[in-house]
This record gives sequence, C-alpha cells and structure tokens, in this order.
Amino acid sequence: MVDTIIDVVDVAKTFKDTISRTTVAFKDPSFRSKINDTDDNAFLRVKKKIGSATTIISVDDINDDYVNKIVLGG
Amino acid sequence: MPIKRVFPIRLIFDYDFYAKFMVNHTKDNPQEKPSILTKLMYINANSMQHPRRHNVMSQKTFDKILNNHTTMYKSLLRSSFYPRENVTEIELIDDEIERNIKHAIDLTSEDPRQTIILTTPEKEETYSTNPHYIGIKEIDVRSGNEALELINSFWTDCSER
Repeated sequence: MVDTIIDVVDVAKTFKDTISRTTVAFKDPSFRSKINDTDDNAFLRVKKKIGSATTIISVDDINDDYVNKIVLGG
Repeated sequence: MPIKRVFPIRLIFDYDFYAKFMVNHTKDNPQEKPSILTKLMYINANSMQHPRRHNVMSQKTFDKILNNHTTMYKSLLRSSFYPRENVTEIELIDDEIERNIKHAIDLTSEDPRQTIILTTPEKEETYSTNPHYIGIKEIDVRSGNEALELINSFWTDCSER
C-alpha cells in the first residue's frame, strides 16, 4: 500500500476529538500533548500519513505572524 | 472564545479579492490582528449551517491562487475558503465574472439563501452590470472597505464572548 500524506488546517478541538476516538500513532510522542494542550479554538496544521497505520508526522501552530508570512510570500 | 453562528449571508470570493485586495491589505497593515485570512478561517470554522464551507470560491480560482502564490499551501487556503469542485457545469464557464455570479446564484438554493460576492472596487461594476447579475435579488457585490466591514462584522459575531 502506498502511503498518503494528508495535510489539514483546522481548529484544535477537531484534532482532539479525532485522537480521542481513534488509535493514531505519533512520530514524536510530544505531538499528543501539544495537541491536547492547545486552546480548542486555535488553529493547527497537522500532517498525517495514512497507510497500514495512521501516523501524525507534524503539528504546527497557525498564528497571525505565520499567516501573514505565507500570504506575503514567505 | 469563538462561538458557532448562523450567518445571514454566504460569502463567495473572486481571484482579485485575494490577490489584490487581501494581499495588499496584509502588506499595508502587517500589525493588524487577526489578519483577514485568519478572520475568514474563524468564520468558516464557526458557521453553524456550513462548517468549513461558508466562504466559497470557484475551484478554478482556488487553483489559480495556489499556482500564482507559491508560498500559500493548500490546507491553509482550504481552512479559509471552500473550493466548489462538484459543480461541473458552472466550473466549465471560462469567464470568471459569469462563473462567480452563477456560483452565487446556485448557493442561494441552500440556507441562508443570500450570497455576497467579494471583489475589488475595480471589479465591482463589472459584476453589477453583468446581464447574469441584473435582477437577481438574492445576490449582492461588495468590495474594498465594505467587504472588510462585512468580514469584520461576521468575525465579531463569532468571537463575542
């Protein structure tokens, strides 16, 4: 099976609900506490690898400085 | 803490709103927080009727932004704008003005049955004089500060504590 990378930006609560409902592995175990410690309404960027097992491979905070940098061309 | 809201109007955005108005506004107001894109993210996430689908774009517009703004990544753009990918007959229209007007009209078949097209002041008249637009009461066009005020009012509405 070919691994698929899913890249999604959403509110932290959505990710918290997902990780509480499903068995998901974390490439870095600290990602779990990072997601759980984030305010429910803050935005996170989560990349997941979907294959024989789902693994969260990165978690980034989406704040205004980050957004402005992306909008203005990095 | 942002709260879920039933917004009275669905929003549809054209290419120039993003590439000219929003990018220039961000450039001119780097300290403004939240930024327009962040406010749109919250509006999209907190729409009770259309979560993650409240702010709409033509799929062609969405793809054009990604092609022309190489630092923007799909998941960030998607968090603020929903690309209407399954409306094939409308997406086949080459003219962006006609395509957006028809998307706006199509969206009025769902609640809240009112759609506003957000664009630039330079493009506003092109929409309002288009024969596909004239006489349709359920859609409207806003640009510049009026567009900003609309976004700010929705943002304020869903961020009231």
